[in-house]
Amino acid sequence: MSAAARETLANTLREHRARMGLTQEALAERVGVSRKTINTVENARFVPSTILALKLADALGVPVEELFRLEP
Amino acid sequence: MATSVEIEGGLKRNLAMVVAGFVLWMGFDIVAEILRSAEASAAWVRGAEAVKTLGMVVWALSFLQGWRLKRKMKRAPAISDALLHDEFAKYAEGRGFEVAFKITLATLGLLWLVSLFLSLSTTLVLQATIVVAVLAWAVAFFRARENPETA
Repeated sequence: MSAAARETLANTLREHRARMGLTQEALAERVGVSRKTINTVENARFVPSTILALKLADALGVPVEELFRLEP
Repeated sequence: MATSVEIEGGLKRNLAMVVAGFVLWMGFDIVAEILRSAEASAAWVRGAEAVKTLGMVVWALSFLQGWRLKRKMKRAPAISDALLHDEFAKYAEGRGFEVAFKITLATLGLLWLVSLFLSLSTTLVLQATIVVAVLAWAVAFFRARENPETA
């Protein structure tokens, strides 16, 4: 497996969502996606598009680079 | 108003019922046809016909359930739109089509090989291919939703 294939996209979505007192459902409603999408992104099982990543950062009031980071 | 969990669960169950009904109906239609052409006992043919009918009933009932679900979804358009069209839904759908395409090609190849030794009707080949494609799509779709492989 190449090094690039081993990289994962870690996130701090859960922490920021908890800080704002939002449920997965409430955050999903804010960004216009399903609860399942938030759940899979939060658990680092689904890599969101750039647009969704920016929408999530906007909804949580943090820069996108604070929300997502590459992990080797 | 229905919650997203309720609508999501309803959609999942409804899709599973549509697919299960269709696969049982069409699959056992093929089985009954093969049994008849192999001159199997009438009891076996009747058994296959019974399962086929059961599949048809499940498929028809799933449509009725679908209408009820549609009414529920109309009352929550934003949730329904997100469930059906957001990028995760599109990813799972796409994964379903990708897997179904490969399995359909493999099925056609296999049936072509079989046809070198046995005489297969065009209807049977088409029907079997459609059943396999629908089943492969549904399995890949549900798997992609439960275990996405993008991360």
